[in-house]
Amino acid sequence: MKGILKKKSILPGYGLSLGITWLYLSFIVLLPLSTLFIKVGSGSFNDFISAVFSLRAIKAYQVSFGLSFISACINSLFGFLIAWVIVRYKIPFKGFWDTLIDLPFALPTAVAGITLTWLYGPQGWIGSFLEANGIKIVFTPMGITIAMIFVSFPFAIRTIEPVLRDLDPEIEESARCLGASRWKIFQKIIFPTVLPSLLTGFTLCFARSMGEYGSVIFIAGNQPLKTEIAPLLIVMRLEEYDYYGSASIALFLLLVSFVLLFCLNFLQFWNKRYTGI
Amino acid sequence: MSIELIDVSKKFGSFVAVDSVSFSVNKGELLALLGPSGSGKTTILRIIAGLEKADSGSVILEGRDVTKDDPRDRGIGFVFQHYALFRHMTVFENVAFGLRVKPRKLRPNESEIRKQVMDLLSLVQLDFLAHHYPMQLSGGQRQRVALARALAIQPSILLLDEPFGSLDARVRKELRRWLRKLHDEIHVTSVFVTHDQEEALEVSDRVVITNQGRIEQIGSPEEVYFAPRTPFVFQFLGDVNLFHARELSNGELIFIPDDDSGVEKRVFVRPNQISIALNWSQKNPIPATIHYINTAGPMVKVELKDKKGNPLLAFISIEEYQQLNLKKNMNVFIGVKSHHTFENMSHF
Repeated sequence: MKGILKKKSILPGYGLSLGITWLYLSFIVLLPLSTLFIKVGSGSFNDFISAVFSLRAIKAYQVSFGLSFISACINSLFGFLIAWVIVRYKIPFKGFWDTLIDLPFALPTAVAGITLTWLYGPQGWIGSFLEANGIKIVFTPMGITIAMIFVSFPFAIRTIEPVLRDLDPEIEESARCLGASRWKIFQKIIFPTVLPSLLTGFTLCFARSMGEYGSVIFIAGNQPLKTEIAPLLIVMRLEEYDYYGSASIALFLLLVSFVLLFCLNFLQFWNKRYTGI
Repeated sequence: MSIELIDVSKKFGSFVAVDSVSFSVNKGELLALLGPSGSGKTTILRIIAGLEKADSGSVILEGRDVTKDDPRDRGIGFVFQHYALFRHMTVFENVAFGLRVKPRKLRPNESEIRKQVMDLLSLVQLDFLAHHYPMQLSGGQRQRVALARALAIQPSILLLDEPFGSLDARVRKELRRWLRKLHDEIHVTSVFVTHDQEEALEVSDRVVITNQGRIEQIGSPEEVYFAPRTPFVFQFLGDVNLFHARELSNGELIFIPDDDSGVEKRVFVRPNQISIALNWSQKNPIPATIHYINTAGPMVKVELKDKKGNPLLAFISIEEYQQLNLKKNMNVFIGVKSHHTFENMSHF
C-alpha cells in the first residue's frame, strides 16, 4: 500500500485528494446503498424471495425490463441514424438540432411526462387522431415505451457520434480501392468499428429507461400487473408501510443495475482489445 | 503504356491543385511524383485511383479509359500515408479483406485465401505477426501490412502516397531500399508520391517533378539531377548557391565584374561545386568570410558570406578542410568549379 502511494505521488496533494475522493464516494454512493443491504438483511431469505418474486413484482419487472429493452433497441437504431446524419451530412441549423438532442438530458422528467400525456391523450394532437383509428397510447405499454424513448435517446446518439466522427475517411477509401461495395464497407468496416459504442449506448439507454420514474408514471396509468413499472412498485410498497418489501425490490433493481454496469465495463474492455489504449 | 494522364485538371474551390497535367507510366516502372507540399502530387495520385474526380482530362489505365470509373473497378492497389489499416481486424484479416469482398463467383475459397495471404505476409516478412492487431505493430510493420493488403487483389497498378512519410529517418531508409528490392521482384507498375528528393532519386526509375499543380520536369534521376530544366528543379533537388555574374560575349563568366560589360546572368551552383582557397587566383576570385563550419558528416559544410553579405554554402572534403586549416571568421577566396544557367527565368 505504501509502495503504491509513493509511486503515484508525483503530483502534490495525492493523499488529501484521494482521501476526499474516498470520503465523498462513501457518503454519496456506498453508505446509502449499504443501508439497503442492512435493511434487507434484517428479514429472512424467504421474506426476501416472496417480496421480490410476488406476481405483482414479476409483472412489474416484465413491464420495466421488456419495455426498456424495446426502447433501447429503437433508440440504438435511430440514434445511429441521427448520429450518422449529424456527422456525415451538412444540415441547416445544425446547432439548433444539436441542442435539441440534448434537451431530454436537461428537462425535468415530470415536464416530459405531462407533455407526452397531453400530446398522446384522447384530447391531444396525436392522441385524438390515433384514438379515432382505434390506437390507444396513454395508459398502455406503448405510452410507457414512448416516455422511455424520450428520456433516453440522447445517450445513444452521444455515444455513437464521436466514434463515427473519428472514423478516418482514408479507411473507407482504402476499402473502396480493395473492391468493397458501399454495403460491404458499412457491414465490414463501419459497423464493427461503431458496434462497441453502439452497445454502450444501448446499455445506457436501457439503464436510463429502467430507472425512469418521473415521466413514466404520468403516461402509464399504473395499473398493477399491466402498466405498473418496478420503480413505482417500490413507492407503492412504501405507501403500504411495507418497508421491507420496498427495500427488497429496490435491492433487486440495484443488483440488476450492477450487472448492467458490469456488462458495460466488459464491453469497454472488449473494445480495448484492438484499440490498445 | 500502363498509366496515361491526358490534360488532367482539378480545382478545389478557387485553388488550382492540378493544372493540365499529362504524363505516362511504362509497364513495370517505378515512378516518383516529387514536389513540395501543395504542389498537387497527392491529388494526381488520387485522380489516378479514382478517389478524386478530375474536372477535365482523362485517365487511361492499361489502354482502358477509366476517367468515370469507380475506384473499386480500377484494380488499383493504394497505400496511404497513415496506413489506413482496419484496426478491428488482425493483420491476416486486413490482408484478406480484398479477397473476402470479391463477388461470390470470383472469391477464392477459405484455404486459397489462407495461402495467398500467408504468401503475401511472408513476402513482406511479417508472417509471424499474422494474428496481431495493427495497434500492436510498429510504424514500419504497419506500412508493410498496408502494402501486402494492397497487393492482395493483384493490382495492375500500385499507388503509394508518401509511403514512408510518417516513419523515422532510419526506418525510412531501410524501407525504401526494401521497396526497391520488392519492386524488382514483383514488377508491378508503381507510382509513389514523396516530398523527399533523396528518396525519389534513390528509389525510382523516373521522376516527375511537380510545382504549383504543373509538371516541371520528367526524367530519370540522373537527368533531373544533372540536367535540370528549370531553376525550380535545380533548387528543389539540393542546396544551391545563386550568383549574379556577367556573361561576356565570348561566353566567359565574370563573378566580380569591374564594369557593365556583357549581360547579367544568374548562375546556380551546387555547394560541392564550390572551391575554397586561402589566396586570390583566377580560379578562386570571389572574396568571402567563413561564418560557420560543421564537420560532422561525410563532407565538411562551410557557410560563408560574400562582400555584400549574401550567404553561400560550400561542401568540401575533410582532407581539403584539414589542409586549408579553415577557421571561423577567416577571409578566403572561393571559386566555381561548375555551374548551371537557365534561359527561361520566368520563375524568378
